Amino acid sequence: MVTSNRWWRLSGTVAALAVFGLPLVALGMDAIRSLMVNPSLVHLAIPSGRTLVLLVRSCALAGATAVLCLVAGTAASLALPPASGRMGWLRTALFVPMVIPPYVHALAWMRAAEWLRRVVAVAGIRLPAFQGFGAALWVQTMVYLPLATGVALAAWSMIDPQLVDAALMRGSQDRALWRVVLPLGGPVLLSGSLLVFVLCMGDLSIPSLFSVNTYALELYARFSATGRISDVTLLAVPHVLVCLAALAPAIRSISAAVSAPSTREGIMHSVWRPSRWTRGLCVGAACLLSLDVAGLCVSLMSGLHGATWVAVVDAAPSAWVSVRLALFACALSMILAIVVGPLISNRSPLGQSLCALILIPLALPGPVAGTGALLANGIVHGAWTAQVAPALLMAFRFAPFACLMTGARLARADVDAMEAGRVFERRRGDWVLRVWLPMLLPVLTAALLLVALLVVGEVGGTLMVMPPGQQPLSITIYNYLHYGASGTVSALCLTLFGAVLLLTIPGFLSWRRAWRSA
Amino acid sequence: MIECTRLAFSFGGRTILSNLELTVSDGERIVVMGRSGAGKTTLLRLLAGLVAPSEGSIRVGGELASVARRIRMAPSRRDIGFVFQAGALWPHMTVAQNVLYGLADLPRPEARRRMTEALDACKVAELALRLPQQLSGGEQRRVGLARAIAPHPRHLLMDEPLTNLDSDLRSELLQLVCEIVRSHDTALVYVTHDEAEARAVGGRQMRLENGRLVAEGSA
Repeated sequence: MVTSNRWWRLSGTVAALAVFGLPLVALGMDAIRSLMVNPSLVHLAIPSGRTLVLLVRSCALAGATAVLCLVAGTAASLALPPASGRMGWLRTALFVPMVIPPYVHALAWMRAAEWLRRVVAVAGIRLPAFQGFGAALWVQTMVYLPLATGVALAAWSMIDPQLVDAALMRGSQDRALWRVVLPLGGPVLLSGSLLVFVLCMGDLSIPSLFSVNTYALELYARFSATGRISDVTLLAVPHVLVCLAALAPAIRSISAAVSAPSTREGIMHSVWRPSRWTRGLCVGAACLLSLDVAGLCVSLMSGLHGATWVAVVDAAPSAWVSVRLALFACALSMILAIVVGPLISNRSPLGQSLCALILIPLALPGPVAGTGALLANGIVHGAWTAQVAPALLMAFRFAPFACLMTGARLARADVDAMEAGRVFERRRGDWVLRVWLPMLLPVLTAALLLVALLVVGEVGGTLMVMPPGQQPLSITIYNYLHYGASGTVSALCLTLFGAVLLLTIPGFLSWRRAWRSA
Repeated sequence: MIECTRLAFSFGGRTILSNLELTVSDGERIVVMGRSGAGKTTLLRLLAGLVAPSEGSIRVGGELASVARRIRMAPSRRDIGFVFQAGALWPHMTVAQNVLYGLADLPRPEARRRMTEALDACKVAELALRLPQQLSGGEQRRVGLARAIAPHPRHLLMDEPLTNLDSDLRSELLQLVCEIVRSHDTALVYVTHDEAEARAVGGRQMRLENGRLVAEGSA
């Protein structure tokens, strides 16, 4: 394998240290320097009083979202039509909300709730305002439900249908569900909900829009108020530890599931189907998933009447900045996935160390990652120019997904097929170009799609590093949201949605083609 | 000719092969048997240059190919064909592309002629445009064999190539392998744990025991 090549090992290690290690070292050094000057700052890293309340609230919100997504996502996945059937397009359509950033969902649901309040007010019923913990929980669940459903589908595709058929020889449909299907898919399902937990912990847009003070929001507020990076780093320690504790067990099985080299539908190919009662619940969950799509479409379209179209036209450069940033970040992520992915696919001490290193950026909240990028730029004397720094920050935050997915794919790859490429190679480089890379193509494309989506919607870190006059669309929308310009926001959201589709449709089509041939 | 001298291989603190001596002369047939985990596949991977030995050396055609912890001759330079246990066909290439891959150093017309000849010999010529996942298990094995013999290698390594096939197909493929090896005067190292299969291949019968090769019946 390529990991036996020392140049590959060296370049992979150097790339990982430069992109993932440097911002972490910068944050660590800055925090240590501050602690040496003022040792009492250590209290920031130990949650107590207000920060403890915030941490507990963040964990409660993220935990409740993760549980709801686990239950509803699992149920919805069992009711979706098969991808290869006549209704396969419906299944794809239900995953469209995945490409829409959380704050756009929030806007749609706020508007839907307002409409509902007006409708029921006619009948003399006064609904409470759509604010607070419950509203944030509902919207976060809706945001991450497609992801949880997708993970559940991946879990089902990994189950050998013969195992389920064997269970049916000896028991009912429900018994097969509880005793075989769920236990076999359990690790991936649980990992999916842990991933949702981590994403919720790091999101500050929904809590801020629904007036729920969370730990991630506190980190951003602290930086805005004091400008002291070391304070934010120390304050982020409990957050990072909680997220790492959730990520570490989750990431391997998630990566393995999404990179499974299979177009099979696993248990959907067995004769097993949910019983009538279970099916009712599953259909209910699938309706919930559809509700989000319908809510988004209706709410955004109906909000257009108040749009300031001049603002939308003015936002065209921002859309271009978003697309350019996503393309840069994808290019960097691809290079990192190709050089670092193989190293983390084997269980050598180097592979395990790199795996641990790249998990940390995933656990960092956006604002802290952004400040890390700023400090790292200082270490290399501003070598990360204003144009490059945002793309490097995005690679720092999201390329770990690409590396982990590539690593997981390689760990599960048909080693014989890879090595046959070396045995029969007649022209130098043929093995890498004609066997190794094509076999990785489906997972690389999927990983880059994911990176593009995350980059386009990212707010927390981008706020810190974007140079003046280089505002991406996500920041423009976020700013308008806080000014209350809802019509313009709707129009901009649709523009963002268009930009995302422009970026992802070619990628999605090539991914599907590559996946089918793999 | 392939010569292994004092060959040893350890992995994860476990010794798999130790002090192994083996010479494969041109045109010779050797069958290697042994229980699961005895190191049969590892031996083939060492000969092919896919892993480096922990100790000892391997010479291919008189040239030093592998020494302790170092591969000096790349697998593609050893003039070896390898038939993997599960086929190991590349899923993104058609049958024809799988076979043509190993013929890239030949002029295109010659490469196509060799491909057709190999597919014909293995009776899969009509499947040339199919993808591996569109083939049955037996067809995949035939394509794997065609890919290995198409470059006319001096040595052919086969790693339990007939596992999980029904008995009719096994004897048919076995006959095919013997014919091909005879017609090209190729040296064959055939790994199996099936004694009937070993007898059918013929040649020198060896058994891997405690990391060493012993002649069958002499242990």
